[in-house]
Amino acid sequence: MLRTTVVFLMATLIAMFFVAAQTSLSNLWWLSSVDMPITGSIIISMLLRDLIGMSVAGAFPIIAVVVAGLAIAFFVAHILLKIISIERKIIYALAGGAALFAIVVLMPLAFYNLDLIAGARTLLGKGILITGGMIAGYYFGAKSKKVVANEKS
Amino acid sequence: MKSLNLGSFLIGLFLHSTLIFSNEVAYKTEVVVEGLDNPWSIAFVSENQWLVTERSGDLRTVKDGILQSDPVAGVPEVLFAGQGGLSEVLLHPKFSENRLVYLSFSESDSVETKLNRLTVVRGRLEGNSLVDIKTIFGSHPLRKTAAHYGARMKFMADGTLLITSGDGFNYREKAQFLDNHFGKIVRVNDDGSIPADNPFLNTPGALPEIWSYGHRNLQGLVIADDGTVFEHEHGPKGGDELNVVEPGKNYGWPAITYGVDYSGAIISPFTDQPGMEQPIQYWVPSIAPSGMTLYRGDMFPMWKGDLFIAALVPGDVRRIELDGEKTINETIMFNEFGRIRDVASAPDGSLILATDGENGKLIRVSAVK
Repeated sequence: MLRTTVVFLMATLIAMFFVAAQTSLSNLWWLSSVDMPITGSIIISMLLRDLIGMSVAGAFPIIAVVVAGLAIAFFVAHILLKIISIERKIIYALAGGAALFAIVVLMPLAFYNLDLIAGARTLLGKGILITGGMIAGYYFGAKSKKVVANEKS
Repeated sequence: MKSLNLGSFLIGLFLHSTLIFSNEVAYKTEVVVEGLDNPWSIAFVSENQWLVTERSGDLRTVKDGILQSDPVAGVPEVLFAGQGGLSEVLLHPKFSENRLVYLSFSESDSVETKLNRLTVVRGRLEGNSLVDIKTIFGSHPLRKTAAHYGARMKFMADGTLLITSGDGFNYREKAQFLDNHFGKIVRVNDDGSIPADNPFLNTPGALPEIWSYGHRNLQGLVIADDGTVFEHEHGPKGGDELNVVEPGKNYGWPAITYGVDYSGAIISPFTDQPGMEQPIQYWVPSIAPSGMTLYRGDMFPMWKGDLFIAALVPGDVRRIELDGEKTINETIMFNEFGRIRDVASAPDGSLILATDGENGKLIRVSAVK
């Protein structure tokens, strides 16, 4: 159980990394395009500050939204695994992608189409974040399998 | 309930009157009207007749302190969603001669109904109806979001009209480009035509209405007697700004800002940049500034020439003392009423506060005699 929790938190961090990095890089890309003086140290500083800021310093806790989204999606995947025959890494990857899809596509529909995650305002940005969710899910599917195997043994 | 009878008005007056004595000035506050649905803006037809917008779409009349039960007829249908709805009501400078009233509001597009825009119309007030309504401004391009409309208006001394147009939340980067109305102040003649001396009239690709750019969600606009234009705008999480606005200038959003995104992300690591203007004051954390008035009345001589800014968070009014175009002192006032949506100077010199929400109130601040 402890390892499952650790693996879940790692999966959350993977998803959060994509959320923060996509937001940082899209902001930096635009700032650079309007000739703002972006340097290497600014890029590194913004990536780190966004990873921390978006986890703990926002007006609403994005990390909590990601945790909730992944937890629900992984739970549904867990149920489905008992019903249908599918490789667990694939179904958890799909679940992770679905969680991020819900966060970046469906959640704004409840808030007057406001994209509260700046990095998700474009189609490309949404795609990157959903891909991040899929990678997080794939990781969880791969690592948690070992946990289950250990539990059975 | 949208109207008050005289009895409940007098009882309310008794219950809600408060006397405040400070070492500077003695004033009393009294609830004049309550039961307004998200009041947003106030215009004074006369000392005894006020017009008040309700964001849900009605233009209401207050006569002799009584909210009239029937809203003004003829107001166009508005998109009441998110931060949108019926916003500013403004009288033409020659209203006594032409009876022209200007309204700003969000509206759905008639073709692409999932998209919307900021619209400004003018109409002639005849009795309790607006007639001869004409659209004088529609923001471009359309937006999918229902937030950050700006929607404040003021007439300049030359009779031209300034309109604030917010960045639409999702479209903040467009505030730096002149081919759209996101994050701009636009200037039009009183009939919507373009003044011949607008700053970007001859700039290729620029919309000719644009007067200044690089703004976020502009919620307060005041023009001083000497022509100085004061504007305030919501920052993101922190970084609300009070600016002195000049034509053709870039106010920086979102390339420079003192705030961070609601998500906690950095919008820009820069707070200043050559070619971009600095605010004369900014607030971190945010106060969520809403309406603003420049006090010119005689009821409170100590306040003459000061700016009063309604603040939604935590809910108060900021009195800003000015020395020319510089702020020299800020005093927090009227923090007992919750979120204040608008503050206006009445013809008799009192201040009128409009509280935010579904049971919005108009509160008069007047001198103790």
